Amino acid sequence: MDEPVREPEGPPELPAPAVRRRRPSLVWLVPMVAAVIGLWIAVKAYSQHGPTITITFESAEGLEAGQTRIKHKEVEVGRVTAINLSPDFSKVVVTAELKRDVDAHLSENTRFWVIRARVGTNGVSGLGTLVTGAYIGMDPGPHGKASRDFKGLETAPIIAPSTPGALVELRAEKLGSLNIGSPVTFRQIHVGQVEGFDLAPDGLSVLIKVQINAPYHKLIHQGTRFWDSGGVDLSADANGLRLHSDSMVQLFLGGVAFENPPGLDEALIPGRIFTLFPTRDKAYEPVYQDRRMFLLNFDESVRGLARGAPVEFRGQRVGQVEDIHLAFRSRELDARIPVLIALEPERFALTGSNGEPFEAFMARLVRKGFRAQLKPGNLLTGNLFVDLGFFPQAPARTLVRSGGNLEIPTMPSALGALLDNLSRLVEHLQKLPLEQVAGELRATFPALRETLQQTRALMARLDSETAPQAKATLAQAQATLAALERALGPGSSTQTDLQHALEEFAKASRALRNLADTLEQHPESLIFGKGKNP
Amino acid sequence: MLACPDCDLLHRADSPRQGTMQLCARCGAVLGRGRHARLDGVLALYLAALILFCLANAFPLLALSLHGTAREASIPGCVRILATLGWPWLSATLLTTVILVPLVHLGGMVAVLLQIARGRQRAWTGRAFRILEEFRSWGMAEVFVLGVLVSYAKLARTASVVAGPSLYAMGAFIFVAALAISSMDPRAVWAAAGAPASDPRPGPGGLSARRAGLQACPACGLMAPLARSGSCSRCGASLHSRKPDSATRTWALLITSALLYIPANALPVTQVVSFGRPHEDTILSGVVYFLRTGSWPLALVIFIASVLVPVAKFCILTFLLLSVRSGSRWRPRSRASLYRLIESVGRWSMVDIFAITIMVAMLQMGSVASVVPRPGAMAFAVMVVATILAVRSFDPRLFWDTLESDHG
Repeated sequence: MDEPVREPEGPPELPAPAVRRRRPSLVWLVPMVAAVIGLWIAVKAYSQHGPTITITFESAEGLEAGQTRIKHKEVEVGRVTAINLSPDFSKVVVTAELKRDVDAHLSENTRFWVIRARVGTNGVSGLGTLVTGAYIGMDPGPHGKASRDFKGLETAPIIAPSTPGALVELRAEKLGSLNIGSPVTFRQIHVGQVEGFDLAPDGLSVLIKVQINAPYHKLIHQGTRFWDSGGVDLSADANGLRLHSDSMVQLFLGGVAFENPPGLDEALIPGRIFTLFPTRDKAYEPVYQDRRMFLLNFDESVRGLARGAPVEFRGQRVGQVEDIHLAFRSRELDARIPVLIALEPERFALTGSNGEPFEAFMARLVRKGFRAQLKPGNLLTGNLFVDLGFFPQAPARTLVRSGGNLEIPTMPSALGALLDNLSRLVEHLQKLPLEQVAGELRATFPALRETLQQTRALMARLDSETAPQAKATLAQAQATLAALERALGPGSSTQTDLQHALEEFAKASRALRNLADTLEQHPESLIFGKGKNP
Repeated sequence: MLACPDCDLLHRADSPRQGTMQLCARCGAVLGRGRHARLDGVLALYLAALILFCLANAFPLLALSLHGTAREASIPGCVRILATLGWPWLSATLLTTVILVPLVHLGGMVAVLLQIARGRQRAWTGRAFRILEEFRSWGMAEVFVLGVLVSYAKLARTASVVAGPSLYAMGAFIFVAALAISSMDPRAVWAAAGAPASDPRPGPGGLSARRAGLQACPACGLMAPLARSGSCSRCGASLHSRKPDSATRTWALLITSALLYIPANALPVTQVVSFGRPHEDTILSGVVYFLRTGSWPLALVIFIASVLVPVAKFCILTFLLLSVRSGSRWRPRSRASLYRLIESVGRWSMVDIFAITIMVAMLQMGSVASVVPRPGAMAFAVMVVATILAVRSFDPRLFWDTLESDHG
């Protein structure tokens, strides 16, 4: 400022700047590098970018955009990117982005379902959802037409079919303590788990699907026995109390166990529905599929007979009591008790039947005196069971149809029959001419006594002659025998007396035999006396 | 008349033609560019950059979700988290270089250019422009974007990361800002803003301004007589023909940064806790990590920025200092080129520091996953600042001073 020289341009000797074509400034370098890296990241992300799909659910409970994963076999295959309501607000439309390699496996058969926290024995996966939140399970399913829009299942499907192993269907009376995830054990080794359950279509039983993991699924045979291993099995029998529980886990969470009874290793027929028995002991009772219903009408008290009571034939179980009713007959003013029993024809092990229907076989049996009878099973508890047996003397009956069931005629129970017989025996005994018989017997006694005394004297004489003459010869013995012959010869008084006594004895013996016969045939007569019709 | 800032050679002040650039005839430094844009066009660009920058600071940069926990962080959020975690200096570095300096620069430039566009002259216009230009190089928003990309690539391995609106705004910002800076002609601003450029007559001494008895203002380039001390009449910068105590200051800063380089690389820069298991990373192990995971472009960027650039600066600066000290005459133009190289790439080394700050801000999930800076990060950041200062305090005009003193 203090030297204002008015010369805008420098002196002519000053050099001019070199002129070059303009190049971009260095300022651009960092933005360019950033752009290249950003592009590279974008390309990389796009190259891993998989298909975008939509899944329709009823509710989005537990799902969250950007966080909820889609997993197949516990491996993340995608992620939920958005959750929206369907246009009519009735459903939830979940948009998810899957990994690139999943694309080839997506088809119309692919299934999706939400897996929420589940407390089970498979704690890791169950607990995992508690931390990470619910996730969507995916099962690719068999190949099919490609699809991008899916309808989610509201409950987990019974199984991911691609899991190695086998799916076994069990039929149980009730679900018990079983739940999805309950363990399936074989000799207390965890070999599978309960995958799902449903009420049978008829509502009478529960169908439980269990997954047996490979390689244990080879253990399942046609005759495999399944039972509910949960809880405690307490039983009392002749051997005392028995407490049985498979493991602590199953004690609390329930479970299914199975075993193969020895000798039953036929190959499994697909589609077989096994019975899930409530206990192991029940499982080992022979199972008979074929059950025929028969009706028994009892006139006596059935106190002590319960549903499930056994029906036996000569000590072998052939069926069980199914139902007990009471039927009053107004006209006769008495009651009978119809008892419905189920017989298991397989237990009869019929041979040579040539395909004869069981009912026809039963009709023949009844004609031959086949009857049902109540018998005490346990004297202490008073439990009754139904015993089938042959009663040839029983009045002839035939197998008749009564109210939809064939009726097997019954016999009064053995206890009742016994009481009946006893009274008849007393009656018989009362009618016996006991005094007369006793008098006759008393008259016989003096003659008998005399004979015995004579016999004793004879014996004494024999003894006195024989003993001192120990050295007597056979000739003397011969002489003695001759003398004996003389003494006992025909017409002698000794022989006459003896003959008379013997005749009286024979009479008494005959009378005794008659009494014995009567008692044998009608023991009741001992108490009840002789019946009108012995 | 103008003096080359790198070698002090006096040139005729021709205005550059469109599509050309003027280089110093002796050292090759860029003296001027033929610009397309007029100053009001530049104003528009700065205004756009300012809006983008405000957007970039208002929205989340990255959104992250890991194990069901979602988290997002904005640029001010990163600053805040670092401060609350007990790293106030790292936090201050981030605040200064990424938020304050760019914001003040943009705002100031808008104000200055607005002033010029309205044709009004204010005494502060020139001074403001000088200060803005001096501090511009401390704004490292574009390096920060690089750091965001690096951390994005790192985080995406463990969590799902979504780029937030801020990252897009930032991406746009660095391009608009680069366009604004490169299309602005400082000489035009000076001409419009300051007092009329009345050049003093050069003495007959020689080619360089100093020998001609002149000195150029280090900020605005206005020529002044050598004898004059004080501040520039146009921009208020303190006048000096050569940078004061150039060699001593450079040596001191160089040694400082070289010493800091040891802990910066030996000590871990981050501690990553993943499910309770702590794992410490150094600068080099970060490079190895990217190489191993197949992200070689990122490995390359980090290796160049964090390893190669500091080492190159040490070597080149030591060589230049030694050459000046020994009075070497070996190819001064090449040495000037080397100097300009290390001057321009100095800021790049901050990439890793910025990447760390974002990782720290994003991953704060207790023992599930968290990242905390380790002392190595601070050492590295200070080392980078020290090298930048060292390069700036060096005066390349010293190369030619030796030659000219021979002639003289």
